Amino acid sequence: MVFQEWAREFSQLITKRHIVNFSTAVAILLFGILLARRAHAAIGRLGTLDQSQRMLFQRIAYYGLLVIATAAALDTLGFDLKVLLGAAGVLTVAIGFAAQTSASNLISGLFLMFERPFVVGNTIAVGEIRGEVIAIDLMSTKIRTFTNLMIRVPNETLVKSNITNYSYFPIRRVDVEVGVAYGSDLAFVSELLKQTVLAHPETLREPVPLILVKGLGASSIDFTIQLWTPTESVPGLPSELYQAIELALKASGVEIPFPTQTVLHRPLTAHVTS
Amino acid sequence: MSNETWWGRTSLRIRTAQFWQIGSLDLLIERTSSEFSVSWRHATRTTSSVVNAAASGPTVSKRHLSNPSDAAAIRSAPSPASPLSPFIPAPFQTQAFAMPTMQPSPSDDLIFTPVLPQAPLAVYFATPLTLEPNEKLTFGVCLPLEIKIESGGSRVICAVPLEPFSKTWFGPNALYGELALSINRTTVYSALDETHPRADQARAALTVRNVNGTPLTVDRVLIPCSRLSLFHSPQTGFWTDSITIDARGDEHNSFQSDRSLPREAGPSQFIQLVANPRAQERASINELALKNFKNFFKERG
Repeated sequence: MVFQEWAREFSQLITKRHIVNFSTAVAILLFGILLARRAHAAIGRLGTLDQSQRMLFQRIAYYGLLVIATAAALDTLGFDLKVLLGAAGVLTVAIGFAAQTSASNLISGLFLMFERPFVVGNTIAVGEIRGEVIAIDLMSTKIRTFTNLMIRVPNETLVKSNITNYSYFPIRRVDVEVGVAYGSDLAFVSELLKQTVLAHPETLREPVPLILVKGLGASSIDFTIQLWTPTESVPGLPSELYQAIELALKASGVEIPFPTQTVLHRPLTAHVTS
Repeated sequence: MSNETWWGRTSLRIRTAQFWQIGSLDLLIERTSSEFSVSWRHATRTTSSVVNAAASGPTVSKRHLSNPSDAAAIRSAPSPASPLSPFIPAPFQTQAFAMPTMQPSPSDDLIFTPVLPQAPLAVYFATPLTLEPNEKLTFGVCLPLEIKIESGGSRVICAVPLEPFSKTWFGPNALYGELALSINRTTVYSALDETHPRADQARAALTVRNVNGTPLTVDRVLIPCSRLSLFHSPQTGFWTDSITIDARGDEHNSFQSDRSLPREAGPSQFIQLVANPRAQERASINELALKNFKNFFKERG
């Protein structure tokens, strides 16, 4: 009985105009969602942007269109947006004070996306963290370490820190250090090391590898080989070169010395006084 | 040079394999019901493949393996040394390629075609060359070849280099330039008749022209191999289009090629086109799509 009365009163309140407005608002909202999804997909197909820029523009377009559609729908329903905007202003100040770090990360994220010190897929080092960039988001950057850990680095930290990008250039220099025994023919060893590293298919012929005598060590004469290789070959190359160099030196009779220490025994002379 | 060619069409049935030795290349192709598996390495031979190749082309042997364990034995044998150095092992590299599932009865055929590499090749002059303005000189150059393997449906499986390539950086410094291929023996010869026919290399006439206003010293040039056609003559071996490099004094030299082969290539009636420029492979896919698109509308009036 009560319900019937309530329903009768409600039906008197709902006019045809209300139904039309409500339907229009729902249609605007649905259209806005559809448009936002289309824009998201269209930006995803743009080949001119890199992955992080694409993600940024996709989010801006998606949420921007949703906000516009929601505002239009609310306006159609008769809500006074000025009140909402005023409240939003006050809210923004309040949130701004409470979320300074987030705002800083957000702005830093935008800087990173446009400055592009690295892109998704690059190997970078930030402080003690070293790994592959798997995502650059508005607030943070996700790095996968070589031990398969995911580390979330706030964008503000990245903007303030020194970043080393190991993938920026297509070629990189690799230094390989070898020690040979004192008395070895240094000219022969230099030539042998050069030929051995040049024989590896991943060693670039130019820039020409440099074979330098680094110093006269405690047990060995130390060489540094500075060679260049495509960036993607850097992780595996030193290991293969050390094996080839060890074989080449052994086959040529050049000794790789163990650390040695010479101990001199001096006979004790006993002065016995009677 | 023999009239018989080492490339062409061969047949490989399901659950069998073939083991090829072409110069320093060991090539093992296995076929299962759903995929081709291609394994290759470059190995040192007891008789130098380089010497053999200089005389009459690379030593070529082909062995049919009907028992899968024979192929496994070849792959698991200790790795020989690389032809580049006795101290660097050369293990097999393996790639598997799925068979197209759309075909009701897949073809047993494999097609081997010699092709030029996709990447550019850096070639070096024995001594730096100084050219006066507008002066041009023609040299001879040898370019390495790869072997392209296609399945019967003309689907490219892969391309394997016939001899091991090295890599180099072609640019004024480590900041500017591009990665290129380099071969120990890839040097520029002062005349084309100094080059010799080889079954694993192609020869070309290389003209370097100074288009700079001042005298120019050139010590190396970059040859975009993917833009050259490959020809073969039974008498004189492999040839590519004639190459002209307009040297400008920086790394932005311009490159031209034309299909006029030098007279050293022999009578034109014996010369056949072996492979079109590989840079066209991608374009040909677009052309095919356009052709299909046109046919679609043509069929509907």
